[in-house]
Amino acid sequence: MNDNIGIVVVSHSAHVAQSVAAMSHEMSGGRIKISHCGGNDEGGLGSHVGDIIRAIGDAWSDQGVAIFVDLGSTEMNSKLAIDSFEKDKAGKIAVMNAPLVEGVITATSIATDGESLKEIQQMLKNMGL
Amino acid sequence: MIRGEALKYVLQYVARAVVEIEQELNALDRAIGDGDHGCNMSRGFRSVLDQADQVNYGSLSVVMTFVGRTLMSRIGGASGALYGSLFVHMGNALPEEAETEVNFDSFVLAFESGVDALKELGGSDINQKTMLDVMIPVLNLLKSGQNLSLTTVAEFAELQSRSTIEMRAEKGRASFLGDRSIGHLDPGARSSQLIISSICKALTLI
Repeated sequence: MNDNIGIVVVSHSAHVAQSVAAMSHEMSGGRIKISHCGGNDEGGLGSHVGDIIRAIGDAWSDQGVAIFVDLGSTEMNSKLAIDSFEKDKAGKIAVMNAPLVEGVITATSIATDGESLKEIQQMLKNMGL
Repeated sequence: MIRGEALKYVLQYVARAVVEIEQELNALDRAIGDGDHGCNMSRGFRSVLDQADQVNYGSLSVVMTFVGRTLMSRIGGASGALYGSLFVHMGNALPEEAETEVNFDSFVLAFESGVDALKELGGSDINQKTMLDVMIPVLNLLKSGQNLSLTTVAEFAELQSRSTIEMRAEKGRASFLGDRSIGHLDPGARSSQLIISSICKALTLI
């Protein structure tokens, strides 16, 4: 399990984040660590940097962590979350440039084969998702 | 430069001004966004007010960092990330030691560092109907070396904010509207202008 990257699902909606993570979890058969976050404290839509930092910690793998986001502010908050880690750790975390659902599903299937974060990033790019 | 009770006065003045226009910001955001800019900004600045008695006003850097961290954690969304980064980067660029004097030039440099962080984080620039349409021109005005009055800066910020009405949104959720975003004042430009104008106003009152 430690040979695979971790995946973080970040959405404005807690339900979307949870459901996408559940799909990924089932597909991976528990072979990769997947965490999720989304929504605000009042149960509405939103994205908070603190939640993302926690989710990165939950999915942490020394092989790296791939973050998938939906709208612009989840991307911005994810970048801030990455900046909050020490340099050597921050260098192993990246926001993926791919649609949330398709990206997570694709990355899950690639990641269970032990591909590195860079390889996954490149494969997602080549797929033109 | 400003510190102590005067700095606390300016901070509270600005925070109250943002809280007061909550409804207006919500209305602007309803037109081209999701309608919560006022609620979010107000939540962030109310938290600043709640903690205002516990801040060390001896250092502008410490105050900026406090404001940035509070906004980042309490506003959330894009506004929390952007305003949080602006103030945190300004705080980082200023000398932390209370005894180090901050002059106008070093303040402008710190502001530039904050605006650069905004550009980088939002992947945005001028003329895209965002808060940068206020921040960048005001920064350039401050850097111009002209002899400026506080009123001039405040009025200039307002003029820049209104210039976003005719712009087409290229960033953020408003960009989904394309041409339909034209004709509306950008909520982020309005809140940026309000913060700048309120700082200027508060400085004339101390």
